[in-house]
This record gives sequence, structure tokens and C-alpha cells, in this order.
Amino acid sequence: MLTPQQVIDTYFLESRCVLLEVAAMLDRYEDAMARSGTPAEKQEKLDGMRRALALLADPTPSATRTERLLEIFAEI
Amino acid sequence: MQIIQPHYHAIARTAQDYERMAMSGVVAVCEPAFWAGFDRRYPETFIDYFRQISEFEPTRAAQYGIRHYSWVAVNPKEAENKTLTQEVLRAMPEFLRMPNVLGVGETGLHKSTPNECDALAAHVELAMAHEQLVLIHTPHLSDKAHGTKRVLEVLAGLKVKPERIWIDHVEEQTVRSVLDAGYWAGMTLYPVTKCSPKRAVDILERYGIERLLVNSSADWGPSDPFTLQECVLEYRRRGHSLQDAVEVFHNNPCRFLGQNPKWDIPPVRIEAC
Repeated sequence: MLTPQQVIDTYFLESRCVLLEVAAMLDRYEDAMARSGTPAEKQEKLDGMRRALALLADPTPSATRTERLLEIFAEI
Repeated sequence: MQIIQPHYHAIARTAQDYERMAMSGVVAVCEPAFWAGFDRRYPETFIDYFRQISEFEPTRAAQYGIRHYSWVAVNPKEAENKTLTQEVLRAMPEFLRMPNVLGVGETGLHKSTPNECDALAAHVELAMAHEQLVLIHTPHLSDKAHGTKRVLEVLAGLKVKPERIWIDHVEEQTVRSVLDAGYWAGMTLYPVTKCSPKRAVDILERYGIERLLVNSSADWGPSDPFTLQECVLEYRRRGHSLQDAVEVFHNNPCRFLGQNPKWDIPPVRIEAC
């Protein structure tokens, strides 16, 4: 089993990469919206992502983040 | 579709890479000198390495119908050794005359130390004195923004031709400053630590394709030469035409590298029969 520090050091770069992809997807959406002049008609997936990101940003200790994200995405 | 791989460390890869690249449209690869994973101690080690990438590696690529070009330089990670750097720089003009050597690279910065900056300036001055192209490495991860700024500051203090300089490994936070200064900018696609294929296409869509290059580097670390083809696929699936893809992944490298007369692969145009 890994120590807390080992978890951070082992998975930081991989998690950084995933977060950058999420940021890029949101930027891509903004660019597309700027080009078309209108937002997407169906925003449920985007709203779900924003709820998921808010949950991830909550520093309250919890080992159920993955489970709760799956519940959010199951509603979409 | 014909593709050029502008930045590829072939000596760290197997012949299977060449075979698969050839089967997926790669017609030429360019191999800059880079870090071996440890700091070399002797100028002779560099000289043999330069022989390997300028004499031997083209024969390996040729077995798969791929043209192989190379660049010579002391890698920024080894530029702290000033004596070594000076001795290798003295040996480099001999290689710049080789028929497939396109210029000086990859020089650049790693930790942006004074010695690294001095070595970068010396490399660029050598290149300009010999009318060579220059390929500049910028640092990774947390050092990237500062290192790219320092690269631009060093170049601003030299007499250079910006159109003959390619600053590599740009990402969202550095691409604008490089393009605004008149240089070519390269995006290096890595599975985790550099730009991703999707983000590279975002940058192409945001800034346009002029003076932008895409490569997948591919070395002995976690890397994948086929992130370049992944980027082609992403570009095409967003609705960009085949000719536009050719402009980015074949013709732009030809335009930059073709400033050296040794590069004899012309831009191509797709015509309907």
C-alpha cells in the first residue's frame, strides 16, 4: 500500500494531464460558443461536469468522490 | 496522407517504429541531438553521437523509405559543463556541412541557469554565423513559462533571423509570445507531460496554422510517435479538410525546414482527378 506522499508523487502528473484535458474541453466549448454566437441547446452534460468539478474542489475529507461522481454522471 | 515528423529521437526507438510510421504516411523524420539520460563527460562522446545520427541513422530509416535528417547541439541539461560545451561547439561546424544535417538543435534551456543561457547564446550565434536553422528546447512543466521568457530574452539580445528559429514544446501559456516575436512554434505531443493531440488542435484552431509545427518527439521516456497521427485524426474529425491537414502536418515542416537547401521535400497539394 502507498503512503499519502507516495500517492501524490505517483499520480500527480497523470492527474494534472487529466485536469488539463478537462480545462481544454471547457475552453473548446467557450471558443465554439464564441464562433457560433449561441450556447449549446442541451447543457445537461456540461452542468454535470461543473457539479463534478465543484465536488472535486471541496477539500472536506472523503473517500467517496469517485462514487459520487458516478452518481452525478448517472443522472445525465 | 503524407506526414513529416519534425522532432523524433530515432536512436531511442526500434525499427518497428520506422515500419509503422512508414505504413502510416510518415515520409521524413528529423532527429535533434538530445540528452542521453545521463550527463556525458567527453566531447568525443558527442562527436560519436553526432556521427550516429548523421551517418548511421539515415541508413536505418532508408530501409523503410523514410528520409532522415538531424540536428547537432549540446543538450541544455549538459550545458552546465562549460568546458564540454565549448569543445563540442568547436566540433559542430564539421557536422553542419553534412548532407542531412539541418541546423543547430536542440539547444535551449532546462533550469534557465546563467550557464545554460550562455550556451544557448553561443549555439544561436554559431548557427547564424553558418546560416543554419535553429531548434530551441523550452523547459517542461513548472519551468516552462519562465524558461520560454528567458529564451525570448536571450534571443532578443542577439542578431537573429526569427523566421529561421523554431522554439519547441510550446503550450497554451507560451505559444502567443513565441509567435508574436516572429519565431516558429512547435507543439510536442506526449502522453502525459506535454501537449496532448486535442490541445494541439485547439491551439491550431485558436492561432491559425501559420508558423506552427506539430511533433511527437518520441524518445527513451514515456512517449509515443503515433500521437502525431492521433493529432491528424483529431484535426480531421473536427471537420478540417485533407488539404488543411497536409498544410499543418507536411507542408509547414517543409516551409520551415526548406529554408535549408539540404531539405528537398517540397510542399504538396492534393488535386482531384
